[in-house]
Amino acid sequence: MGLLFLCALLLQGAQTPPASPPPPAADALIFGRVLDPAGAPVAAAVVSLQSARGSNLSTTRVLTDDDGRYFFDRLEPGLYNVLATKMGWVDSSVGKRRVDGAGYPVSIAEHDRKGNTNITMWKLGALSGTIVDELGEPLVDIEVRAVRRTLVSGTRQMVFAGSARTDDRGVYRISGVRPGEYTVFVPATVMSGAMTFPPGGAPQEWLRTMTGEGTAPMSFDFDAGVLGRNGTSFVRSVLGVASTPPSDAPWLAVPPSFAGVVGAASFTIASGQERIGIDMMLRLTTTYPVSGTLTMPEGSAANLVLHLMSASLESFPLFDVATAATDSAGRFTFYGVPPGDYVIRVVRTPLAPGGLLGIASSGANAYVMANDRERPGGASALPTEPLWHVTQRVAVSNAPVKDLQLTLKPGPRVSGRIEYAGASVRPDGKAWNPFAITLDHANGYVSRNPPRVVPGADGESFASASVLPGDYYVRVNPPAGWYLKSVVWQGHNIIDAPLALGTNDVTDIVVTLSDRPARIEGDVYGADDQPALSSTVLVFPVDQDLWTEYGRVSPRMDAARVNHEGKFSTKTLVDGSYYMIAVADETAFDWQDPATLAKLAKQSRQVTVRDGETSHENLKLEKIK
Amino acid sequence: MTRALSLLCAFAASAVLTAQTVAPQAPAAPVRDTPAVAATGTALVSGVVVDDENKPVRRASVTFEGDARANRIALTDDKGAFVAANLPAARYTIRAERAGFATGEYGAKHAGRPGAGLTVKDGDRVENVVLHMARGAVIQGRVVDEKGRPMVGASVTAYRVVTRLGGNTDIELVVRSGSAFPQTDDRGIFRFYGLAADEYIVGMSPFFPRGQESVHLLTDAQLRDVFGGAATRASRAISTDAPAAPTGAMSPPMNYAMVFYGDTTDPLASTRVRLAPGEERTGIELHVKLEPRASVHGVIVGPDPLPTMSLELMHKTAVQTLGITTFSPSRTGAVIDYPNLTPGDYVLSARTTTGPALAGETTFTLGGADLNGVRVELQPAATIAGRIVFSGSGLKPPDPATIALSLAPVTQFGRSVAPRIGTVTGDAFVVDGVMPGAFRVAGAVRTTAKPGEPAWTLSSVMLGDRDVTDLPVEINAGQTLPPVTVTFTDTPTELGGRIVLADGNPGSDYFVIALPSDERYWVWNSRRIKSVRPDATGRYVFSPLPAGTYRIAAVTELEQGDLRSLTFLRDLVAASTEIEIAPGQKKILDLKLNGGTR
Repeated sequence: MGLLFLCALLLQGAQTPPASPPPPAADALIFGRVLDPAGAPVAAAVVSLQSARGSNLSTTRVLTDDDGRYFFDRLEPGLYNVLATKMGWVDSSVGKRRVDGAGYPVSIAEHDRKGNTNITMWKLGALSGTIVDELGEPLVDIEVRAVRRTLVSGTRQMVFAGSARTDDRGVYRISGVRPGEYTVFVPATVMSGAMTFPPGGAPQEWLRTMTGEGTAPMSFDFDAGVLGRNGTSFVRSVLGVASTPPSDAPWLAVPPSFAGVVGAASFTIASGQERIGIDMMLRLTTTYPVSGTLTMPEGSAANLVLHLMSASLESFPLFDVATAATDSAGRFTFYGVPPGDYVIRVVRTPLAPGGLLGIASSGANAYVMANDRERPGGASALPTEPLWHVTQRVAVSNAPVKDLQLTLKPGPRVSGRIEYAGASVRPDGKAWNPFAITLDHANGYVSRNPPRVVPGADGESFASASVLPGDYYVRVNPPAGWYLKSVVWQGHNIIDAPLALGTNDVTDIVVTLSDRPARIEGDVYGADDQPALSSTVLVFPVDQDLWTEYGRVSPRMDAARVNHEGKFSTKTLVDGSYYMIAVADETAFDWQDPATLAKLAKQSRQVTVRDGETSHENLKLEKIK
Repeated sequence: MTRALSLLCAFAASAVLTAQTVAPQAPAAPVRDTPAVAATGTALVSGVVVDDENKPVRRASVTFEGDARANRIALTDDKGAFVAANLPAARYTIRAERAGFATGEYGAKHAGRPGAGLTVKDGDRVENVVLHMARGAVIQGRVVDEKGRPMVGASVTAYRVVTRLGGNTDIELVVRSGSAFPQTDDRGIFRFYGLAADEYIVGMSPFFPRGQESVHLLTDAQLRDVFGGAATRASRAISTDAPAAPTGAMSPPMNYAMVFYGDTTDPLASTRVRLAPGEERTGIELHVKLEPRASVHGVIVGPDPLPTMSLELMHKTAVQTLGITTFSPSRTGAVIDYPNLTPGDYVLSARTTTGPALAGETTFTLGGADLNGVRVELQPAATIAGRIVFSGSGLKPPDPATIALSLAPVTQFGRSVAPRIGTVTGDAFVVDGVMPGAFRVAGAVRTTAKPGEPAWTLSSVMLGDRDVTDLPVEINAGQTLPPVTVTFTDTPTELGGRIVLADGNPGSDYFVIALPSDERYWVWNSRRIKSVRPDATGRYVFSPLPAGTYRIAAVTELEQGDLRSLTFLRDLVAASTEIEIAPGQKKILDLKLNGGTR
């Protein structure tokens, strides 16, 4: 009924009917409440009503009253998204049943009086505590970070989830924390170097390497003294700024500090919960400088930033133990490194011709921003110069490490062609979203500076900028009317296995698109044979190898929330054997955990998806056993 | 911190505040990408850093900033002590810094004040230097809505009151430790720390967090109609009455208004927060209210078809800093349509960007209701014309393209801040399309920098027989002004001299400021208000400096914005020396300062 209706509306939009029927009365009403998970009203939330029809997007916003109530009246029949937002709360919508879940649009017919259209909202939590030094004095204006235990590409990872700086009392408070499991730590990054910002500009070399691909998320503290003072060589730690000490002697510093140990002591935050008293005392320990010389095969290695991070975090960088900048001869010294295994990484981000980096601020934090990324058109923004990189393991025992020799190497590029299997009109380069093709890390890590890939102007090719070596998937989000069929390199399917990029360019990737989508549609019924509106249909591959290391988003997994009539439609899938099961949406939290998938597999129906075919499956709502 | 923030603002693509609130710019420092090998010498400076209670301050960074590569940073130990050994002979600014404290500078009377500098010679041992820091003061408070509920993510800002050139009282952003634009946390709480003892204004800035664009309010009566009479506080109760269509229209769009401490939208009427040194003031509560937003509709009346125009809508607020201008650089069509405006006074002006120079403007006051029928009538814009005279023996510039003549605005704020550029043909010039307002006539000749060619500078501007050199000229719509004569000279007027300290040493760590004695010249971007830094021998020079009577003063610290602050300039007059310079004269003025080297 809803779908039919949508088609009728689309037709009406496309052509004026010869004898236009009277327009439907704009007299429908929708009303409900915004409630928290316990059923208490959420007052002063903004409820917006968006017409769910594509182009003509109009939005009306109302504020809920003390009882969480809202309504919209004088509505034309149609499909609407009803969304609720409030600062300090997770955005929500009608039909959303878990904090990470999805809602569904509401269908409204002529003369409707649609009540009890309630929206559940989850309040964000907070993590707070005090940071003091070994004498109990507050440490002021230092950064505290929170990481959340998150399922990434089928494995548990600690992922950056927010940060705050301590105030004059040493108190920090990380607000806006979603329900989940957290650890808090003080990165205590020791920065060293000598740098002066040129008047009216930021040093480009410094910015290019400050937040490179595969380095820690960095929130700048402009006062950090990273800038030095008129070229003074300095070292900055959480204890203050000083001139650089000798690079061949032990040094007292405060190492990174965790409340507990990463992966062990963590805090589970429920919706709206605040966890106070996560206090830490930072103590001085003996650390060692790590020094050496960085060489750039072409040009100067001056003013480049090197990152030293824990070897265990190499593939998911969370913070730098130390950050150093080179002098004009490429020399560098990291300070404050406790004994342990580390990785030094330098990544010099390539820039498009004429591209320039700047610094953008967002609240208390500032970020490096490339202006060439924002340029519309895309194709012209592809850098031609290589990405320069080096990753070097270093073990620190109880002595300074000296005379390291690091040489930057150029990163490989990826390119290929796009083939269209189907008679539909082929899109040219303009029809392609300039960000539609991505190179995703196989382990799901998403950096602030993801590799750039652009579709060619003819729409029949694509090429990437030079990238950091590693395991990648080529992921494609085709233009409207086209669907991904395969990605092949030298006869290998590289949808399900990543491409291990080393030093060589890869030029002959073939992306094939089809104009016929392959997906699964159907209805979900409850035990009472009524449409199960609370359900979500989970689809995942039969092959267990594909349950991990699938990149940021698996092309073979989907959680399709049923609509207001209990109907579902999956995203387009590539051919293969799949499991599918309908479960109550609120029980689907972290369903992509391989342990959960193994349980689900036993209860699931197995289906085969074939190229260009839409299959129909009706499902019964299941309880996860 | 201040230096750091200036960079931030310079790069922020979408600067959060208007340009005038940009923090002080660091003095242009040379780019050094050469190894920062500290020069070594034989002098030693040691001492202690104490707070306002004479207790030692641990882990303060003590920076020695001297000539060239002589810079050094020492960290104080647990007794507040610091040592800088092997210092080369130089004059040093010594500064102790620690987050949450007001800076302690050598030679300063109080923490947070500029100091004097210390000159050390080879082999000197300067011990027992005491740097005074002060624990910064704190303002803490909360932002709540009409019902006392915390507002999360609201931007709160601390300001100080300043007086701008032209006599307008304004407010200025205070930049301190932590963020300059702190947002309230999940409890609605904000906290500024590290503040100097001073008087502050605290306000929630007019920038609203995400998801709080204008909203409509639902009345109790409407909610009763819809939810039924039995609708109760027990939110799970299901009404048994049939829902009815609500009666009455929707409220106008509403949004949270900017508010200052003391429940006012006028920052100057706000309750000021006076902080003693190190004071911690809590309980500063800001109450935000929803106010209606309204739209403005109207037409632009002019020739048919209407040429392409630029349109400026300026919201006139109690202080210039908060005034917001919406500028559409190129638009066609007669329809005026501005939705979602905050109530207040506005000036709407239009100016053609192609074809004949036409301009018009209207003012209106917006309450909570939509305003229809606003009219902007395009009229021929004002024009000024005149001739250019080169008074001097040198060769006149052969290329008129090197002569730049413009009408420059005399205030930094509001409408038409870009100068209006004139057209020069031979000895004649014309500036058309001039919007009503106050301007000064500015002129310059770009030098070809060939040796032997004269450098021409503006020496006088006559409006009819009135001398308006560097003075504001009021221009009204459609007005034709008397012919203007702009005279350039190739004999520059100059003022120079030396800064000498009481002990006979040259003063180089100063800013020398030249300021016209006549306050009428105190306008924005005046070429008569200037600052220079002396060289290492204390020598300074202003060249060219327009002839006139000046007050000359030397200060140790100059922040961007100081030369635009009426209060600052008036304070300066008291500590200055007056000198008159005739056209073409080169005068010498040596300034003897009381500050010593120790």
